[in-house]
Amino acid sequence: MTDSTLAAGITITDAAAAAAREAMGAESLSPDTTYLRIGVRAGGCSGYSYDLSFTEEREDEDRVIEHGGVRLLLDPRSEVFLKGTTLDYTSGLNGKGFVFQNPNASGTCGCGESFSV
Amino acid sequence: MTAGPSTPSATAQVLGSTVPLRFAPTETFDPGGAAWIEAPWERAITVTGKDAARFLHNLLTQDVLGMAVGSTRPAVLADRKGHLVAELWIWREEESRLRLRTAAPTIDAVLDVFARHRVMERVEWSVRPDPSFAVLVCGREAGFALGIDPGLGGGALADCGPDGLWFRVRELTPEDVVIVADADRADTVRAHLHAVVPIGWETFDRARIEAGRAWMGIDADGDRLVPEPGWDDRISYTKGCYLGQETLARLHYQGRLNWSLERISWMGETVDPGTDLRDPGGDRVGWVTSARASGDRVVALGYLHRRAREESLPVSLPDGRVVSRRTDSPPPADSLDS
Repeated sequence: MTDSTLAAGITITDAAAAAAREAMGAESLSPDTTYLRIGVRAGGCSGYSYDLSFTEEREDEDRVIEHGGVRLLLDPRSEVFLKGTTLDYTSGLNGKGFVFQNPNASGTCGCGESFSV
Repeated sequence: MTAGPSTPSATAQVLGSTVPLRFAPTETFDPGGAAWIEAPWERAITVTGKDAARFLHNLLTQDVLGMAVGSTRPAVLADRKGHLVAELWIWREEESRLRLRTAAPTIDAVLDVFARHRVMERVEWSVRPDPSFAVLVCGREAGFALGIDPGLGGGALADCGPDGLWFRVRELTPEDVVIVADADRADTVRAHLHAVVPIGWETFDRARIEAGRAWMGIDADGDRLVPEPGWDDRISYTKGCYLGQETLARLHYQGRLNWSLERISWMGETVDPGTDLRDPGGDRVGWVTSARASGDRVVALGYLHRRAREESLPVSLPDGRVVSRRTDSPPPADSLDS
């Protein structure tokens, strides 16, 4: 596995990029017009939760970062919470999905869906 | 029915505000009618934006996204450990415009949590500026007396200024209404209340205690878990994650609540909040949070430990007076005399 550390100090593994491309294809979305937005929202047991969604809408303030054929959008307020984060993708008997490894998180809830800082 | 308040005989400090204690020595509150008290502690927050409902849904204990436009629901803001931060009422005025009602002592904590947790959401909020004039109208005839459509959860009150608003809450009955208007519209609000009986804090407080209605800042604080004051109905256990959900879900599905607010009573004089409740061995098994004389007895609210509840232990005050746990239903429609 190789990975790439991008602007904003966010690392995206090849596995995560491949999974994003696959998901985009499954939804018949064009990588030319579609972004993968990553960010942080209020909520979850611990106060903050990660957000991943496909969108064609880009705000002026968004940072665009590309890796492995995927264009990611990152809003500046989420960037503060995600600096140094690795976005990975895991698969296996215990479940599969995108995983945020966030050094800013001082605690996470039991299911791992949310974090506190 | 009376036309307006006479000079109050005394005042009370409630949630940092001074309000009339009583207007007459024989004041009563009839839940089947309508009565109003001044409520200067009332605060209103307006939350707007594309993500307004989702933002509140993700932070509060209540299912906000499941609220129909026009409806109201009670909710709680908890911390990560499930402890109380604030009690709120939500009125979904429009799809992306919600009004929150909370009390003066907790509004800063609410705004602080909002500010710290807004990240990528498109949401704004504003606090209704002070000074305001606020009243709480209680009783099953409250809406009728104000000419409010029973199907509505809130709205503007005629002649009460551009920011004058009312919304339905459930303090003593499901028909209760809070009105918040500009301070210079106080006379207009009072005119709307011409057919409603004014009561002082003492009478309202007695009715509140009889009804088992806990108040944040009086019967509950940041040391208490959300269900302990009896606020389980403010929690949605099916909506998914929110601040404090892990603890609250575990308590609901697996755990046993150590402390629970109970309606209690005893004969004789009242006692101060914080007075111990003791088991036959003299050990502390709880404490009083609110107490009011009611005839020759005292009606009160107090926390009791699980052990006292499960083992049905006899409980007494430190001076030996026997404390009765009240297992009868709160009186929904009977007169609650002072």
